[in-house]
Amino acid sequence: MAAAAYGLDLSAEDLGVSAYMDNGRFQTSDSLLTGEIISRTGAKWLIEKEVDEAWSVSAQIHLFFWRNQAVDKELFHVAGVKFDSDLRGYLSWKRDAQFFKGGVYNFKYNPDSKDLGEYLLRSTAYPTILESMQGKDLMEPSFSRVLGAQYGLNYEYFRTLGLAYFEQFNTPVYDASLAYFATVGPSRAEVGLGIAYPRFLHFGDRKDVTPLDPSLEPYIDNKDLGKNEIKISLRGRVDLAAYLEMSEPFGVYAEAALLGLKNDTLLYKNMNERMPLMIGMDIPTFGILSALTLELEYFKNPYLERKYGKSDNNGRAYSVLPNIDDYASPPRKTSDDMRWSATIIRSLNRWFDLKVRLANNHMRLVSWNEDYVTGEPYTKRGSDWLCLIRLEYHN
Amino acid sequence: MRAAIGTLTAITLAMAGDRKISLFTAVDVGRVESGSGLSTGSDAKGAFLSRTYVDVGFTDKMDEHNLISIGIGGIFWNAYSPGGGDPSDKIIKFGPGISQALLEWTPIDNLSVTFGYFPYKYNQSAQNLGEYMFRSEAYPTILYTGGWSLMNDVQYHPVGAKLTWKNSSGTLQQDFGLFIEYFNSPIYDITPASITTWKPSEVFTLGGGLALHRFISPTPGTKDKLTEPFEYYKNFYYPATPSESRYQIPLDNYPGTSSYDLAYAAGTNPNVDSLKQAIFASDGPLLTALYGINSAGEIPLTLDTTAGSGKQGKPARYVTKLKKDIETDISNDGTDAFNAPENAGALPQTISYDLAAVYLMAFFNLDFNALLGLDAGDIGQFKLYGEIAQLGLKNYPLFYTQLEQRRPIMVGFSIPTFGLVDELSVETEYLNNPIVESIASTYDKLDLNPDENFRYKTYNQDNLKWSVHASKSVSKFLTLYTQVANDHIRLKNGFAQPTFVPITNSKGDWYWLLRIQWAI
Repeated sequence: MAAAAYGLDLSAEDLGVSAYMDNGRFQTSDSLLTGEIISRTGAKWLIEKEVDEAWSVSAQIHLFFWRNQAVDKELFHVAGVKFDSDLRGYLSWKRDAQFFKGGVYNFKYNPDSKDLGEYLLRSTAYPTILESMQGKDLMEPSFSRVLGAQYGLNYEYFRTLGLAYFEQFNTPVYDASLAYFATVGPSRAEVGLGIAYPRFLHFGDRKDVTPLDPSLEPYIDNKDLGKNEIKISLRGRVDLAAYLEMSEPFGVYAEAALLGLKNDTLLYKNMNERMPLMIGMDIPTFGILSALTLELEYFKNPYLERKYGKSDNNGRAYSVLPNIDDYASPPRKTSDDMRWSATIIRSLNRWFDLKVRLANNHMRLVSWNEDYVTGEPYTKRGSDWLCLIRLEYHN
Repeated sequence: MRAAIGTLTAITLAMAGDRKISLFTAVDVGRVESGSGLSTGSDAKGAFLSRTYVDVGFTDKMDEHNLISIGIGGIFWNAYSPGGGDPSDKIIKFGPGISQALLEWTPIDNLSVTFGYFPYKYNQSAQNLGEYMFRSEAYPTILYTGGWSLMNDVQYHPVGAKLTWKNSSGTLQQDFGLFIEYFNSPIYDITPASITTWKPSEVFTLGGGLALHRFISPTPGTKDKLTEPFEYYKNFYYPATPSESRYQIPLDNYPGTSSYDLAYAAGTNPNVDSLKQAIFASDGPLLTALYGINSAGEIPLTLDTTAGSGKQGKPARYVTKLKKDIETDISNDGTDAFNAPENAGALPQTISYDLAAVYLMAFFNLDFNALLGLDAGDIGQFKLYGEIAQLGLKNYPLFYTQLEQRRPIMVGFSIPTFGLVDELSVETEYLNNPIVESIASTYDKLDLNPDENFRYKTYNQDNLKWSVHASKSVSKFLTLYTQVANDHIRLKNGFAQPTFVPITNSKGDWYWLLRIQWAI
């Protein structure tokens, strides 16, 4: 079908399609969560088209059937299949070393991370929370969904990028954030620095600080935590496959971040408790697999990374305080400090891929009303893990 | 969403190499002319039926062995809310969906493997009823028609894989499927199935199949709940319970006894005639003298249910019931049935059901167009077809006790109209199921006993179903359809949950639908 709109000629040849079936399961020490099923069946249409030498456009439609956390297996509207959709669209421009991209898209600054990492944007400092596998495509390499624009420069030994975006995923949505990245070295062995100033502009209704205990409000105001959520990240990579001229992925990468520069005297006393570290490795399998990636994370956060519910949970939906049960004696949890993720990909033929993820990561499922039941990651002890298997086919 | 758009008859408009794009839109409007919510007692008459479907399909034959086909779209729909519903029920809702997302691998000419999410239809003639092998449950015995699409969706929509083999002459086709249930609760159970179709000529088609319905369950928690044991008593004695209503004689200034306990007449079994005779025997002269009443039958008696608790008396009887229901009855009746001497030594028995069931199915098609050499394009489709299935070979000692009560039969006839319409089919179905076809057992709880609202009632008003379906192509791209039926239509509420019992559940119930569809 040829269509000419705004001077752009599109045909069926420009259309890429894919579909997938995700099936997985959590194995946890929590009897209420263990055995929870992950199931999605999705279909995508993708168009990427160069408009001219500088400009190109991309649009993606993603529709899928999915299953929420089945908090009640007996009720169909809770345990039955749900329908959802996702859209992406952006315009990009490139001339010499300059490049620009704007729209609704998945932003990624760590090109190697598969599941963990990408801390600078996939986190909050107060309360201290990390994300993983939270988008609508559970197996897409870790990213942050943004509505925004980026501009950067690409030189052989120096790359820089500025990003301005509106929050799309975590409540309160539409807050405006800024981020800047600078990378030095050749792309096969680079070191990158990032700094983010999240949520510097608020739009719409927002309850800045509504803690459980009103007596804590002056404390929060005095500490001014919400206005000092500066985050910094440092990452590096060595692409050994490039040096060894291997055709399959082989390399090491790592990332560290500092989430929030300000300490307080009660709940956020130590910077190292807001400092996630990740190391990952693409391991060659000499043709047995298409890709094998292992990632390991250490994060000495004493709290259980419990996100606030999207509903107004007794007025504490957007508090900068950690979501804990007893503020008088904050917990010192260590069982979830170490996390890991293994991503395995095997292309069965040119059009058919098998992808497997085994992980103890930060994945949270929402309930039927699209809100969190506890807000904690499903896996929160060393022995907890999940298995997700995807069969994906595409043209 | 899923599937409505899976029934595409879209013609491919655009071709670019082996890539094809199809567009499909359909608008359904209709009305329930007679029907009810059997669970709620609501009147469904006048319920407006509306769906608008849009789908864009893309098929890419990537090489001689591999084909991918992905269709995406959505449905605008309205919620069924007989009680008025919430504000959100009064708007047109939209749901995105996938019509199909399949990869087909054809390693050799007569063998193909289809993988992903795809529609599957084995009885090509069925227009509304039938296709029992994948649109049914055995325990409780349930049949489905429609779904997200109100018409033209007589097929199954599984996620899974299917292997199809055809012999070299094309007269024999064998399908093996591994189908994952995705839409009817409980979801994710896996059904292995085998369907054979023999078509020795254009005149006659005969098919049959075996399905191990829901034999593989990846949700052990759900399976455990569904198969949990229940205790029940056979021939359990219920003592008689007295009535707490009274009969009144509504005569002004009546000097005799004007209020009678129902027990006065005939023990605990109220009998108005006996009571009148007793009254006339005692007060006949008075009644004749004051009110001109000359016989027992002339005595006016009214039942005053406001006297006492209003309960009707019940005679002593023996029942076979679940223990939990007996306990509920005893609590309501205030009897001490468990300690009745008739129940001395009575021990409960245990029963456990399972949704997993062995299905058998057969279908046929006799094409008179081919037999008599009549062109279907000129006179319309002219054929006789049918289907029979056995839903579950296992009988249980309670509720699901007879094979024939789980044996739906459908017969359809496509009648030539000599150009008036392209296809006119009349289908009728018979299922001698005495239990109300409620899906509450899996949609409202995981309890495979029949819906507690109808559990011990024999209901045969819905044994016979019928459907009339017609289509007329107006142009290459535009087709009109209509369907008038008393079938298994279940309308969805604002949570997309279907009514537990079909809206058409009595002999006189019916609805109509019109569809305008354009596809390129």
